[in-house]
Amino acid sequence: MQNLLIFLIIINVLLIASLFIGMQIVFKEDTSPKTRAYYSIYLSVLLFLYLALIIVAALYYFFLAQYSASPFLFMFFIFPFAIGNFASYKSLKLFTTLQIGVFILSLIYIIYLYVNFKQF
Amino acid sequence: MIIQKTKKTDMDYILIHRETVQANSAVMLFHGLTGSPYELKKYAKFLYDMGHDVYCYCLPGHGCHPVDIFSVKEKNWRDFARERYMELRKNYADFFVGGLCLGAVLALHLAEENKDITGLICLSTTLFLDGWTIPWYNFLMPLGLYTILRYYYTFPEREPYGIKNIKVRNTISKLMSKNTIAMDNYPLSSIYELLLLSKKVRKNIRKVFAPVLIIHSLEDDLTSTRSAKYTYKNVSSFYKEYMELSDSYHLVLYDNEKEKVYNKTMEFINALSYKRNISLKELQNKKK
Repeated sequence: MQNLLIFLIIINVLLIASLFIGMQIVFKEDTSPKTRAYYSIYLSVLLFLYLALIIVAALYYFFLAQYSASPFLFMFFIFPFAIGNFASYKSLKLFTTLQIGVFILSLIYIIYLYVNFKQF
Repeated sequence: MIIQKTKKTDMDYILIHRETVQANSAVMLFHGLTGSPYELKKYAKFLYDMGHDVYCYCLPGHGCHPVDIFSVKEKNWRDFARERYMELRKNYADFFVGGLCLGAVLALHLAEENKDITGLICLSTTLFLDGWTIPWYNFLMPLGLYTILRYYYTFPEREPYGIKNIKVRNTISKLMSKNTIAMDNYPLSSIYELLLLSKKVRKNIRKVFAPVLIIHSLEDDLTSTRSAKYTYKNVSSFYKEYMELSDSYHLVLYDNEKEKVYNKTMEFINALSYKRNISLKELQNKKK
């Protein structure tokens, strides 16, 4: 489980950095559609890994009756979809920043879980 | 004959009609996703020569700045189509609605709402995105569709551009690079809106009572014949025709079998107009 948390931390850091770089550099009007497409696929793969790992971690804590941890992890699983639901193109920058903020929060929380990890 | 266009390009709209409204019938056509009225130009001219007034509008989000497509909602397309229909319907005895790809889905939606459409022409109807050029990473699409990534994710338009005929494909490819006839990529947000619209149409498809002509290619690269078969099976129309093409891809109006499409449309419209004429005559006789 500790390995999973380390992997989750790495993915989380990558997601934060990649979204930030995407927002600042890649997703500009003059970027070619091909570059945008490949970068989007890269982001999707990262997000897929993040969601898969976070749901595994949430289930792990749930089945170990660690009820304080699993709701937070489930919440981090749902957030990207909730933000996506309310996002619009006009306020994309705001919602992307919000998404990065949520990823930072989840990173802090996963580091906290890692530090306080107890083998059951 | 009046052909109205925008100042600079064909992107805004193409309306082919007579100076005073004389034709008994009109055809309103909608173009495909990220396309423009340009893709319907020859078809529109053909229908005009058959004696119909033809209206091809540029859908919201298309034809202006490429960024507009990112913020367009399927509701904008529905409202736009409804408004144009209401505007024009009263002027004609027979009114046909049709389109290609997204245009066909919009036509179906209009038919669900309005029972007085004379006939529907659905070319390469896109109710499901399951064609053979859909990329391998399609399994990630739900992640893109339902998260913020849909505003970043774009499918670059690439060969075969929906066309099997190599000569036409090369011409399209050159025009595409100049960005004069259509956009060179599909933003995922627009695909999201198309899928939302398709879902709505599928939900109410039994409310379609208008006669319908469905034309779909067996080798459609964007959407398989599943969409066409679904439409054919589920519409409640008393008169429906389904034609499969074997030597074309998605853009059936420009591919190897375009003549077949043109002729079939002509047959379909003539058959319905003929029926309408008979019934009108019967009505007049009854009145007498």
